[in-house]
Amino acid sequence: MKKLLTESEANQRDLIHILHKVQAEMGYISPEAIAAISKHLKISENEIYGVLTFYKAFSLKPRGEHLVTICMGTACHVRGAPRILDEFKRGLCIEPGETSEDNLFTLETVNCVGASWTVEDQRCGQADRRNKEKFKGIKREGNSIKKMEKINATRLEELKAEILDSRKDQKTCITVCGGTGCHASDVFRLQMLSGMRLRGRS
Amino acid sequence: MRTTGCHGFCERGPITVIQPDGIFYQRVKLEDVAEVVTETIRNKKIIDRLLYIDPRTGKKIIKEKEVPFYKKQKRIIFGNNGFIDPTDIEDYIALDGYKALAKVLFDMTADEVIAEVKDSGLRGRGGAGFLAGLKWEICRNVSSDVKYIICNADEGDPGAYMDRSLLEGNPHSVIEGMIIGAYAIGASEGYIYVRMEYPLAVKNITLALEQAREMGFLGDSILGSEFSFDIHVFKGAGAFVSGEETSMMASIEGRRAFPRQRPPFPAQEGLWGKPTNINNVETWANIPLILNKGADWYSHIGTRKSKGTKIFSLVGKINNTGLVEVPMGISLREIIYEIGGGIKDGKKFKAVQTGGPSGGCIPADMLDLTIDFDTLTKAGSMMGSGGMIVMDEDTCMVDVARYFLEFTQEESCGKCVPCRVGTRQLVEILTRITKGRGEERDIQKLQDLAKTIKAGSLCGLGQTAPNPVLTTLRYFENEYEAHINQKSCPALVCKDLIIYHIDPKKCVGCLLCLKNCPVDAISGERKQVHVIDQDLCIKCGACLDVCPPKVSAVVRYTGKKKERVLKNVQSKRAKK
Ligand SMILES: Cc1cc2nc3c(=O)[nH]c(=O)nc-3n(C[C@H](O)[C@H](O)[C@H](O)COP(=O)(O)O)c2cc1C
Ligand code: FES
Repeated sequence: MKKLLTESEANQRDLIHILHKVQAEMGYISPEAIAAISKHLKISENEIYGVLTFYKAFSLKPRGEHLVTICMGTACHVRGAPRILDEFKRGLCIEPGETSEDNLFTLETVNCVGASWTVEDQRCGQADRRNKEKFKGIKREGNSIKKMEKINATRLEELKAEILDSRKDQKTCITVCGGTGCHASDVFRLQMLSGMRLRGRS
Repeated sequence: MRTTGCHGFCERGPITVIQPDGIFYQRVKLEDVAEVVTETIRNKKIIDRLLYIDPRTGKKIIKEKEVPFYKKQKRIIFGNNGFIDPTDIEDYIALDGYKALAKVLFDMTADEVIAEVKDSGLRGRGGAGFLAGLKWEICRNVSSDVKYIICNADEGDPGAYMDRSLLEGNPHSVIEGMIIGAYAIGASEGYIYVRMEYPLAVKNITLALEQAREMGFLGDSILGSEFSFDIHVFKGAGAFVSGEETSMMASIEGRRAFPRQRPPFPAQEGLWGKPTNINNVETWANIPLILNKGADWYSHIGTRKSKGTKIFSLVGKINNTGLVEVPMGISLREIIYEIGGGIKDGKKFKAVQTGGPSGGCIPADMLDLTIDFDTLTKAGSMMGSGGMIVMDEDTCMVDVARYFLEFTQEESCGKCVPCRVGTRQLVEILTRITKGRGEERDIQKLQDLAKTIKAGSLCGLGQTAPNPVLTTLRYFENEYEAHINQKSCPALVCKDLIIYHIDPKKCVGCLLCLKNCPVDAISGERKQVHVIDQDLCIKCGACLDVCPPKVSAVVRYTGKKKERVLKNVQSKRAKK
């Protein structure tokens, strides 16, 4: 917590940023954390409570080990999300926003995760690993940008020509859609696999 | 080999396109990869089974641009997504990226830039459709030592995801647009406010900003000019109202996202009291294009008062779910049937919802409506940020209205009374109606309340919140009446108004529904007719789902028919 705070600046404008970090690290915002933030930013605990209860991102209670998030967006609604929610409510014996007694599950709803094409996108995953998981696979080893130079306007033209020139010999280019829609259908594993096979051959 | 942003045709993902021929493979699986490499790339052979089949003609289609989903589109903003690896700035530069910026910085004055944007007729893509150039000009004319610009990427409308796709797939186009805007307005700092549900967008835009900074497109003396400017990313924290401009600024300042009275407008007093210009992601992404190709070229696309294209997210009960970019003035029919491929499972189209929680539902007899900002508003809906949710005969319009009002009620920040209390009352009445306890006066009550809320609310959230009720009342009053007078839900959705029943003439006694019923409400033996115990049934619909289509013995009844069946069942039971 200390480390977290010393890394951040001491402005009101950093409050939400800090709350995000605490939530990600600890899974919830404890009274101790609030006291520490209040001291660090020199704003009252009251105000911090006001802010953190306003936003859905933050919780005052620890979440269960598994976070079940059900999208209640419009597209999901017309494709039957309420039924799925009902099923989870019954299965876990909890209402949205609650955590099961054994601390294993927290049930939450979200308005749209923006995955309306898959609508089966009802996520169930390790709460703290959620985001990291999403990023997996898009990291590129040996990024193709060889030379990151500061450029000016004339150099921009040249650079474009150079880039085009260097790609002249690339006869075929496989473009794999990496949009979130396709992502949901396993595209990144696809990309990595084909990437491996292709490397050094094209 | 390149991983690009979203191609838009999400329904058919994962999508792989082999350039330069533009061979379009859809629903590619891991097992297919080796074959794509050996067959298509080495031996130049097309793999039949991965091709897209046009459901209307049954023909296989080889090239991306011939797929009907793309044919009617005009993808001037979104099209490059398919060619760009968003993590590689070189891809953007290769496609004329940052060329507009160089032109602006060295060949144009700020006033010329504003004039160009004004002439293009570009209107804000975030909802209200205010003229972008005019907004810039107002902000430019306020004198102040510090000015800010903001990119609104909060994209709160449930069902809309085009802003996300742009940020994820072509982040530099948004960044370039913002730098140009900052130059025109005279701003020194910018913020991109991204909703927290979009981790990949945050990641890609952050990376893109780093690369742009490293190459001198951001920071001090951009591209060697005298202009300096930088952009920060701000991650939202889950509140729909923070998409409203004054709330967004409060949120960036680290406070609760409460909207405030306007005027003063952000252009006069915005972020930290300084003049601020706020535009939507898609608005910003239009800017480089306008400056590259000129206002004249741009203003030839679209209708008289709505220029350019609009990206819609076409979702719901539609065959081709995805992101579509179309010229303003295209008809709903073209979008839904030609691009969208029609309604799922051959059902009947009922309505399309546009504009999210502030918008409304447009009925089937208005399918030929050509859409732009003004026609949609006239129809009682609005452009909004571009969500387009298709509903079929199985969608209950009262339930839809209730759904949206529950949403706005939940998201109302609570600061002003008409919005806080009024939306709650709307929800109460609508819920009552869907539960079969509606009264005759309810329709009038809904209308009166809606008017009060519209007139008395502080921000756009409240002012537009009643739209879903008003449009459904306007076009589907008969459904309200059925719920109220006949206690029936014509679409068979509202749980309290329907029963599930097993038709004894059709049931073959396969035990499937019996096994799948979560509450053991179904009794029966193998090869004997099964019966649902109405007292135990929770109406989850599992039996209907599992009953084999050949048999389809499970039926839903509502209204009078429901009463009759119930009475029948009861008398049978009494006899026993
Ligand atoms: C309740 C509410 C929610 C809004 N949500 C968004 C949003 O998610 N994205 C957006 O771009 N604009 C949203 N707006 C509109 C913004 O207030 C603002 O008009 C817009 O960002 C201006 O950009 P534009 O001129 O480019 O459209 C919302 C407005 C209201 C009242
Ligand atoms: S409405 Fe559910 S993902 Fe969008």
